Amino acid sequence: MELRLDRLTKQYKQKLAVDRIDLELKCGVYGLLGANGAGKTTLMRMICDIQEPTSGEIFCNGQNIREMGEEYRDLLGYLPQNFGYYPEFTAWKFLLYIASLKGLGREQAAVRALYLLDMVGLADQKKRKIKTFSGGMKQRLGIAQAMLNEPEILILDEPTAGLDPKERVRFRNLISSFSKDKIVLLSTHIVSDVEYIADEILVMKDGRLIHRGAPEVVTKEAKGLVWECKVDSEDVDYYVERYNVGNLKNIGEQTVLRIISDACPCEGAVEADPTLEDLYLYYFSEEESGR
Amino acid sequence: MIRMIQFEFHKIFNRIIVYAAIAFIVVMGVAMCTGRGAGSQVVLKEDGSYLEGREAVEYDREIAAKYEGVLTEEKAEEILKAYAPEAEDGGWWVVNNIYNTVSDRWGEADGTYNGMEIRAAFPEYRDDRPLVLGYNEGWMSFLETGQYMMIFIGILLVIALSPVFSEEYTRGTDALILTSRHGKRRCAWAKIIASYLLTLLTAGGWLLFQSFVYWRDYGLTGGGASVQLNDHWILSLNPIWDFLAEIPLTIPKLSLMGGAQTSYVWVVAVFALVMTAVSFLFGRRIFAGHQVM
Repeated sequence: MELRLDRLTKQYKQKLAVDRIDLELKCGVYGLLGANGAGKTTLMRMICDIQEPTSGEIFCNGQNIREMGEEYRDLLGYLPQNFGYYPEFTAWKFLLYIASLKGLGREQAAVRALYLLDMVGLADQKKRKIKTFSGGMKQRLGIAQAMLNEPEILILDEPTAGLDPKERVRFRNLISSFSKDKIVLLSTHIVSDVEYIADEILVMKDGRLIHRGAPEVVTKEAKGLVWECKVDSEDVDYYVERYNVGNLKNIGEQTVLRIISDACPCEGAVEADPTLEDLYLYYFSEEESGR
Repeated sequence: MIRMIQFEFHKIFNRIIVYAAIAFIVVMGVAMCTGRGAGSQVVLKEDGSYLEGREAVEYDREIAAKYEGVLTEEKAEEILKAYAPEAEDGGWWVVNNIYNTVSDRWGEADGTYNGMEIRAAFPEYRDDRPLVLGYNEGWMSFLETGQYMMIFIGILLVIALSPVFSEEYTRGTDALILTSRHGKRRCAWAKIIASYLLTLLTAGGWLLFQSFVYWRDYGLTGGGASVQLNDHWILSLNPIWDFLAEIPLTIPKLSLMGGAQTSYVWVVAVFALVMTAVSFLFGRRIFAGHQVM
């Protein structure tokens, strides 16, 4: 299974949402990182063939996906960022409906729906209407519907939004067990999620792919940029205003700061091992904070 | 495909307002059938007593059978003489269907014959196509009820079908549908078929029910009688009446002109098509204005 993006571009009037992206995806889990407005969702929607690129093409095993039509959609599972549902449907009925759209037979649909409901921990809630579900339950249902047709290409846009830590662990395990011989592309703001399960990280900024590589390789990019220092609590504001502070922890009258900076921020600061989150903050702190 | 259509029905009937609209239609339908059915019929017998309901209908039909056929001035005079109510009746104007039909144009205030020529009463009258007398009260009531009911059913369809496509965009389920194997073609067809089925089932179902009620109450006789002789509102509501009406206009001809249930079913079906198309286009517009980054 191979997915190839060839100079994929999407422009909305003045805004270039996706800018000439060339990318090859083979079997594995890809974590797509980027600030809000980086173009992640637009890119995913184009890969899902629900948004037409302004220019460029997408090929699946060498075939243009627009020409493949049903054949391509048969390979696809998609969880959109804002997962839509029918509030009056029960979880069970909802999955059967999506299964019918995906072309599953009646029996196959029932078996698969039951399996996935069990897998996402909703088996005992299957007769409840979706409108009574919590945010996390809806998200788990969304994940289940995406996997109904055992897709070869699974696109998940913010799949862990609304999930509690236990559910996130369960989700990560689910994706890991599912991803064999498949392409899984997931975007998230929760960097640790992709750090654990992604084989490769894709970093998007202003519609362009600025980095790609294995998590440990990408993380190394932030080597020498992460500092830890202990400062007086009254000086914290000074550092927060001037530096990109990733974390702060109060210890008595002093505060330990984790700062992402090209240069040593203060006397006594020691270089720390970077994480993917540090890298994320390095690239996107301005977008996230609006500075 | 059948399962998809079933799910579309499930989505349509998930909204309380659809049930409210159905309840409204049922109430209006029952009220109309009751108000225009045999229960509303009253006749004055020659002995001064009154008959009501199906007995009144039966009595009207017996009288109509005596005078059935081409209407002449002589026949009108004969009817007026035969069934003129007693003066002390206090001006009670309901006598019987045939008498009322004739007296509307040829009766004086005291019930006597006014001597008017048919040609004066009906300027469109032609000798080669004379007016035909008969008992068509059932048919006319049937058409009149159907005319109003199809308007109400149209309202139900507006409520039920307008979100068929647009709902997916407003709920955000469009992405799930459009990325599924059958989402782009079969699903759209399932929506269109479900919309048509709902239209045909509601309009056709009502037609069947109403046909049964009016057949039970009035029977099938009178279809060949001239519609113009029976003053029902259906004629004033039919926009093409003024242009196409001819003498004699019978029930089958009126039906062909679009005044009958069967025609209205198709009118409503076309209406449903328009509604689903509007829903589709409106939904696309919402979608186009909601491009996510």
